[in-house]
Amino acid sequence: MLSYAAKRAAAIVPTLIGVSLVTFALLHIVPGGPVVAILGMAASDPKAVAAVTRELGLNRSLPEQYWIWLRHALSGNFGTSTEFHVSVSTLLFPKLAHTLVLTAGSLVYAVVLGLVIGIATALYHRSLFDRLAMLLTLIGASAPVFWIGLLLIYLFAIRLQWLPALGMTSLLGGGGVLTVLKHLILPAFANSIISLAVIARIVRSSMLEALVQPYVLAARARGLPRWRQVIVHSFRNVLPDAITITGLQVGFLFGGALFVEVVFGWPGLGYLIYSSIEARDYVTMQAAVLIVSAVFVVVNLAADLARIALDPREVGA
Amino acid sequence: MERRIDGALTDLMAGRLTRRAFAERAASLGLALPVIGALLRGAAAEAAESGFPVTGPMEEGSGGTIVVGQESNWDVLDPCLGTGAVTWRTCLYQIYESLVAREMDNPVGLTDPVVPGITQSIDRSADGKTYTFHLQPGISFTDGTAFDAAAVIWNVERQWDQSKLGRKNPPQFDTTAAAVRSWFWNPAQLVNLVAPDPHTVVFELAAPFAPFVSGMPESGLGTMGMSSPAVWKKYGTPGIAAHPVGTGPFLFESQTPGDQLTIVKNPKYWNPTRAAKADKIIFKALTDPATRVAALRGGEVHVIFAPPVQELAGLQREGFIVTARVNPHLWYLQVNAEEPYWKDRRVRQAFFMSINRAGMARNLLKETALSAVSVNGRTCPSWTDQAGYPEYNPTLAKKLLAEAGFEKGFDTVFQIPTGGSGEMEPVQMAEWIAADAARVGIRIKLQTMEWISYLHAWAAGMKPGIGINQQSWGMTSIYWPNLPLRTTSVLNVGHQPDKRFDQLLDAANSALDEKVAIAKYRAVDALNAQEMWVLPIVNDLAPVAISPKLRNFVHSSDWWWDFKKVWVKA
Repeated sequence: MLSYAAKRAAAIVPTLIGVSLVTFALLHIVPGGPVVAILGMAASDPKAVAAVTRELGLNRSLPEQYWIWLRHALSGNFGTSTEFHVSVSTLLFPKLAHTLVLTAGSLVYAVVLGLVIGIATALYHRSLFDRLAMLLTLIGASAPVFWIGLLLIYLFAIRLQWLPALGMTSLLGGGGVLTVLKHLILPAFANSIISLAVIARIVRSSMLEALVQPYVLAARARGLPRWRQVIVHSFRNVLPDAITITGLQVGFLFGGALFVEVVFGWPGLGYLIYSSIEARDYVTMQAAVLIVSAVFVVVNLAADLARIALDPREVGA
Repeated sequence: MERRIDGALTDLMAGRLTRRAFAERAASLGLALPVIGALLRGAAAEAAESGFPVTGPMEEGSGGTIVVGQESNWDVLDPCLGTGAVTWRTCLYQIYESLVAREMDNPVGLTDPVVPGITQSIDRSADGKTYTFHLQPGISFTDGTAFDAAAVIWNVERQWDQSKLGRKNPPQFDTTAAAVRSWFWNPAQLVNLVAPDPHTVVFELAAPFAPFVSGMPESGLGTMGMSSPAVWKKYGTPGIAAHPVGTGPFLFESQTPGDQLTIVKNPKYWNPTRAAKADKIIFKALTDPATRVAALRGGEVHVIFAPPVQELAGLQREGFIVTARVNPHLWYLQVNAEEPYWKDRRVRQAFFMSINRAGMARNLLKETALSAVSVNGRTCPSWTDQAGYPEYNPTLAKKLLAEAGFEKGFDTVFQIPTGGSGEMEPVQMAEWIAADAARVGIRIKLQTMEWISYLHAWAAGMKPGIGINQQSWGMTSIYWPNLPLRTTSVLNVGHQPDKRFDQLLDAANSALDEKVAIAKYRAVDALNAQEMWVLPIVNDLAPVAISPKLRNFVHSSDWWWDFKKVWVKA
């Protein structure tokens, strides 16, 4: 297991360098750039364009620009945002923390509700409850997240006025952890729906397989209580699958928070990426994509290691 | 008395007061008959042009925290580098003040270009080449340092490229600032800047430039927003945005870039009669329009900009107030002079006459715009509805096309952004235009692009194969037509070749008498009405939706906004 972990960990850095290279290339293929975003209509003046291009160092060759960025990034210096004129690190890390909060909240919904629905629908297989639950999860997984978000805002914030419509804390200031939690309820649920549906479906199908295994039938024959048959004997063997799929969903929840952050005005990394794309803020976009990729890679590694810890046969596989 | 007149005017325009009652009230307040007549005519013009009120509820008072939902992020809080209209109109205008101020929160409309502000008065020499600014004495920046002639010169020298005059630029000179403001400083031809005393600044130009004063507040206000030199000395250029210090009625408190910005009332504002009423303003970036509307409905914001037009009626039914007003905005098209089918003036005229602009404003844009009748913005002194732009007439359009040899019409490509600053509903508007043009035989293929990609293509000038593109701008300053119509202008992206425009614009810019300058600019407009190189389509009334809790909110008659008088009733 240790050598497996070491091999996977060693692959992280080259993976991230590869991601940064692809991101860099894609950014420069898209028309426009930070110079146009900064100058606006003044970008029709070639002298103005030339002056700002030189000032931003964009007159250097692409390989040279990438090398300069990479060298600085490896030492933790991600440059200065061309949109906000502050260091990218001061922009990025607070927003990363906000997105992690949103991701954690979404994960709680996705895992708890996904497991409960997955187990319950397996236990009541082919019942009305099973069919209804699967239909709702299918709708949830298919509907656009921003639409679901707007519906939630309309129902809970505008009509019922139970919950706030936007932001992470009260705009008028004050409030602590409880205020943040209150603001988290709707965006976290909206962000969790697709993952919830995926987890529920995977857990359901794994549970259906597990429930007909000989050891479960033996447990039933021995007169063990139903809950022991389900949790101790069946679910325990579904756990590796559940962890793997949850691990994959963490990356999806983290990276997919962009739409939810825009709809709910949640000041996270996704929203920063969205505005950086609009402003062609190359350095911020590169750093943000790198961070998202790093989180994705590390979380997947953790999920794989957890799966192996639960079932060492996976190492050989 | 001014406040009571303001209140009476608002009631008149909102229909709560009859014209007779207003006249009686104004007379009792001591206004002369000619003034009362002028106010009544002005109010009638405003009411006729827009179905929306200009103000929200007006009431004396103060206090509260105003929360503003903005349609996009602000960029950099540096008056020389901040280019976004959103940055200026809602954030920076409250912190920084310009050498040339306009009274945008006047319900009657814009006053003269110079409202006594940090500049007390401006003199111009007889030859039009020297402008002397007399500054208000006794003003400090909010960091305690003096606002004086040296500070003005310091600020101008950040963005004035003196290397063109063979001089070395000072350390605070910023290449990007100079590039962004080049549209003003290049034609202004400033050659010297001196301070004979601490409260006087003298600008010496190479030649008369009629729009010198009116052009100063334009384009992001950055041209003349004054920041404290002491901040730069302590923190360098990035520090100006991180620690915004001006002379304005509000102080910067904090920001999370791209999310939230908070400013608080400046308790030591130099003009106590125009000090801020609200305690605090919070600006929140809410780029999704549905989220903005939800935030207003949920009571989490008091003002939202750019509400979707489809939501306005619903918001009004729910008790929110939608204000709108004429302003300098112009949504216009340019045609590519290098495409063979546009070379005949009759074809360009036919295209313009095929577009039902009034129908677009009424039906597509739900009366949040007016049909444009001039290349000038509606608040510009040279605006006129007598420029001679032809009316919508598809029958005549077809006839003109046939006369020009295009009885079977022709095909062309129209590049249009999917969004962007001041763009309204660009794709839907382009589809409307394409449908109208198709009825006379002009077959338009739309090429849509995201905003920055579009700007990149637009800025390069129209390429072969592209027949039409679109842009939005406009100014209260008379200067505006120089930008799209001068043959050598970098904004002449349609390559229009007619040098008669240059001659008229040169004459306008060098006129020493404002009336002569306005007459020349109107002649430019009239020439364009014949030649149709720039097709003025609509003027956005820029609707804003506000909470009924807001008091003294006056819809701005310019691009910028002034929140000094606004407060929140609990």
